[in-house]
Amino acid sequence: MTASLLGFAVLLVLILVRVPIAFAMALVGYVGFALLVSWSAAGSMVAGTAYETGVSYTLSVVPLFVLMGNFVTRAGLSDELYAASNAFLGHRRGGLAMATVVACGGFSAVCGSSIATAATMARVTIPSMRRYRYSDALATGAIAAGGTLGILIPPSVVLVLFGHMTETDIGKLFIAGLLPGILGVLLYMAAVKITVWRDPSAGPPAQRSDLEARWRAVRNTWAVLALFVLIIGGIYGGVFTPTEAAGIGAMGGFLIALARRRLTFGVLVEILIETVQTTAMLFFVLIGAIIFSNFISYAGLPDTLTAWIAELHVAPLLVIFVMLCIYLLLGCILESLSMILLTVPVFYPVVAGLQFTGIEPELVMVWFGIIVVVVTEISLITPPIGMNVFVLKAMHPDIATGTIFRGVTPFWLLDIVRLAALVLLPGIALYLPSLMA
Amino acid sequence: MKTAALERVKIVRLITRVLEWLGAAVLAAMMALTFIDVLGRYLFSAPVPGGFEITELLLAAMIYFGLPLITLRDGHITVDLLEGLFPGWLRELRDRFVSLLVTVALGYIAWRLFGKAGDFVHYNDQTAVLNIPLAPVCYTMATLATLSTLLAAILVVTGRRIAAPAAEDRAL
Repeated sequence: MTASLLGFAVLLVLILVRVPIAFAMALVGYVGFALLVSWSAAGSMVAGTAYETGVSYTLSVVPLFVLMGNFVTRAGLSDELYAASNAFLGHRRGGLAMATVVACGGFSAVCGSSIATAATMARVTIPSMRRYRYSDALATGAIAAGGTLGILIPPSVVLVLFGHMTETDIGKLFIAGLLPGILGVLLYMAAVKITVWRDPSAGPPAQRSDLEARWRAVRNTWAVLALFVLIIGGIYGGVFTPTEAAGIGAMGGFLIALARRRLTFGVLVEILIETVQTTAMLFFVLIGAIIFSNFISYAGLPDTLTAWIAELHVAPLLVIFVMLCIYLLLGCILESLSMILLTVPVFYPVVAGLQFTGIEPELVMVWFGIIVVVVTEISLITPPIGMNVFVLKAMHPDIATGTIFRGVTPFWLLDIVRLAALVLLPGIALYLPSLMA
Repeated sequence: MKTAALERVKIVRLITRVLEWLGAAVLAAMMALTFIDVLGRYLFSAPVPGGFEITELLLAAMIYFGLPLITLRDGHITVDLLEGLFPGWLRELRDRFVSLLVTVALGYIAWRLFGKAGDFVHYNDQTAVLNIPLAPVCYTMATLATLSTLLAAILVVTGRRIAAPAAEDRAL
C-alpha cells in the first residue's frame, strides 16, 4: 500500500516535469517492481511487456479504427454531416450550434477519437457560426463538448483499451456506448437552448431550408450512415468481431475517400504515416501503463482496497461515487488516456467485487467502462487541462481560453447530469448489450 | 505530427523517410490482410490461413517503426500543465534531462529485447499455425528500439524543441 502510494507520487512528479507519460510509468513500474521482487524479475517483466503488448490480435482494432477515422476526416464527410443537420436545425435560435452538436455525434460514429472529432468539426462549423454572428463562447463550447462524444459513440479507441485491460467484451462496450452517446447529443442540444435562452444574441437564427433541400442534404450523408450501420450493426448482430469490423471500416473509409477524389497517393501515404505514429504513441502509453500496473498489483493496492471496502460494508453506489470524484479531480491534471490506463487497473478489481442491484454481474464491467468514458469526456472540457478546449484554442488563437471554458460551462453541467443518470439508471447503457447474444 | 528540427540534417531525414515508408507499408498490409480475411471468411468460407498470426506480428512491428519517429518528433504523450512555470533556460535544461531519462529507458528496453530475441533463437520459437520464427521479428523490434535510443541520445546533446508542440498534433 505504502509502496503504491509512493509510486503514484513519484509518477506524478515525473509527469509534471514533462517526462513522457509512457516512460514515467515504465520507469516507476520497473524500479518499484524490482525493489519489491528482484531486478532480474523486473527486467523480464519489462521485456515481456515490451514484446507482447504489440503481438495482439484484438488490439489490431486500434490502428484500423484510427485509420478509418483519418480516412473519413480527409474525405470531408464532416461538411455533409453539418449541412444535413443544419438543414433541419439552422433556422432555430442557436440552431447552428445544435446542428454542430448533432454533426459531432454523427462524426463520432465513424471516428474513435474526441480530439480528432473536435478538430475536424471546428474546421467546418466555426466559419458558418461566425458568419451568423454567433458568440465565440457558444460556438467553441458546442464544438469542444460535442467533440467529446468521439470516445463514447462507437467505435472508440478508449473503449478498446479499457476492454483490453479489464478483459471485457469490446463489442458489448461499443454497443453500450450508443444510447449514452445519443443522450449526450440531446443534452448538449438542451445546453445550447439554455445558452440562447439566457442570451438570445448568442445564437441568432439562420435561414430555413425547404423540404427538398433537407432531403437532398440528408441523402448526401449516406456514406457515413452506411459505414456506421455496416460496422456497428455487424458487431451488434454478431456478424463481425470488432477486429473484422475494424478491417472493413478501414477499407470502407479508404473507398469513401477514394470515391470522393480526396485521395492522391501522397495523401494516402500521409494518412498511413499519421496513423502509424498515433498507434505507436497509444501503444507505448499502454506498455508503460501495463508495466506500472504490474507493480501496483504486486504491491497489493487493488487487493487492499477491495478488502478494505468489503470490510466497510458501504453501499456499492457510494464506492462508485467516490471513484467518480477521484476521476473528476484527476481529470483536472492528467491527460485522458493516461488517466484511464492508470486508474482502471486499481479500480476494476474493486468494482468487479461489488454487487449492484439491477445489473447482471457479467455486465458490471461494461457499465463501469461507459461511466469511466463519460467521466473522461468531462475531463476533456474541465479546466485547467481540457484537451478539447486546447485544440480549439490552437486552431483559433484569437479566441481566449477563458471564453471557450465559459462557453463550455452549460455543457459541462449537463454532462454531470448525464453521468448521474447513467450511474442511477444503468439500463441506459446496458439495455442494448443485454439484448446481444 | 510536425517533423523535428533535427530532420533538416540529411542523414536523419533519410532515416525517418525510410521508417515512414516501412511503417506505412506495414499498416497498409495489415488493412488489406484483415479485409481479405473477412471477405474470405464470409463470402468463400475460406479465411486466410493463419491470418491472425500475421496481423499480430505486423502490429508489433508497426508500433516499433513508429517509435523512432515519435521519439524524435516529440510525439509521446506529455502533460504540459506546468509549462508556463519554467523559464526558457530551465525548460531547455529540463528537456535535456527528460531526453536523458528517455534514452536510458529506451536503451534498457532495446537491450532486453535483444535478450528476448536471443531466447527465441535458442528455443527456436515459432508461431503455432504458420511456423513463422519469432526471432527476426523481435530482432527488428530491438533494432528499432536501439535506433530510437540513439535519436534520444542526440536530443540530449542538441536540445529538443524549437517551438512548443500544438495540441492539435495529437490524435487522441
